[in-house]
Amino acid sequence: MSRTPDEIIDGWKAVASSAARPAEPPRPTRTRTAMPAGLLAAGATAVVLLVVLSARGAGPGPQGSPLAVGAGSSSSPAATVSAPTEVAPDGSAPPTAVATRSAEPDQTPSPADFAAAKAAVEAYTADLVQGDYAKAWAMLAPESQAHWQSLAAFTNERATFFKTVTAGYTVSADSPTTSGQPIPSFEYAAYGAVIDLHHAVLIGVSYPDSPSAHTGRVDAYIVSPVAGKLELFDAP
Amino acid sequence: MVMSVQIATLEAAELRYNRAFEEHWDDIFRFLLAWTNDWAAAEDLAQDAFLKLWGHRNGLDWDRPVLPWLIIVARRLATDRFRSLRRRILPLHSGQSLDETSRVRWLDVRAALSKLSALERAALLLTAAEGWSYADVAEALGTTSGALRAAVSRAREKLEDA
Repeated sequence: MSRTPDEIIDGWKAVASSAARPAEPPRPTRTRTAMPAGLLAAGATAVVLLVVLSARGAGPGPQGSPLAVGAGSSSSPAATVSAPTEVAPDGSAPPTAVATRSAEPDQTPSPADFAAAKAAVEAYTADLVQGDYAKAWAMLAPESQAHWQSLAAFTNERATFFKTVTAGYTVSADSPTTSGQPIPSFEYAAYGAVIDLHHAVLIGVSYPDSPSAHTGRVDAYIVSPVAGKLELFDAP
Repeated sequence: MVMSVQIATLEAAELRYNRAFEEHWDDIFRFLLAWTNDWAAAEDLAQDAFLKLWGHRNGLDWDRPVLPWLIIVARRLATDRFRSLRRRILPLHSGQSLDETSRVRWLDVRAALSKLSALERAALLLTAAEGWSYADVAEALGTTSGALRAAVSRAREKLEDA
């Protein structure tokens, strides 16, 4: 059914105005003294990441991301208000290196996990760039292959996308915790049964020249050891 | 005496937070809906934006308008790299809080708008559906009026061609 832009806009307006506001203003529900083990693990993960990245001389997170909005933009509303700073949702300070590192040192990916995961995604992406889709496909976890449904569908989508990638890509070994999001708030439910959260790492691949790069287009993979080898968990 | 003044100040901040929620939740949700084209993500991000406001409630200058503050927080949250990754890896269920009729309508509108980039979609919807001025939208999206007008024009062309 063909519709005019104004009809689509009116449709959006109607459905958007039907949104139900939460019954109560949002309030944080966690307290620092009731910090779950997963949150401690998340903090420790952040520490490992900081150690790794400081060794590489690069800092993670929104401020350094090509996808982040400039905090100091003179044209932004921040120019007229006090600029918000990142804090944990409960208003607490982020975990400190000393406190969290000594909390559960064995519960987080090691620098070796990060390095291995990054190397796996680099190899996977290189295969895609070179058009070796079957080889890349073999690196995906069975659950991700199921998401794609078939090698043909995977090949078709990936080939179409990589035609737009003409100026390279960047693979970064980052952690979901760098944006202040504790691991428990990441719903790994779809893969939870097979992902080893003690060693799994989130890897991002960004494409600076992609037409959709400014909209936040990235490929993301959870890389986890499964049955003795690394598998990539992706979603189409 | 000093303690009672402090308590009164804290209570005032909480009351203002509640008022900000009443006045601006819908604006923030729709801003995020326009940007993400994802109902569940917009709800999730709006929640996070207000939690940020809660965390800053005692340090904010409440005599200034809070909406610009909320918008820039919401925009940062929506463009946060790892939140984007999370949505891509494990998309949230869309529109669970909608009734069946609205959900069907939303999925239809969402499909049509998915042809647009986030900038094009937000530019078009905030100006045409929400009635924001070009200057306000440009400021909210961190772009120029010229770029905004171009984005609106592109958005309309894409929807007409669809």
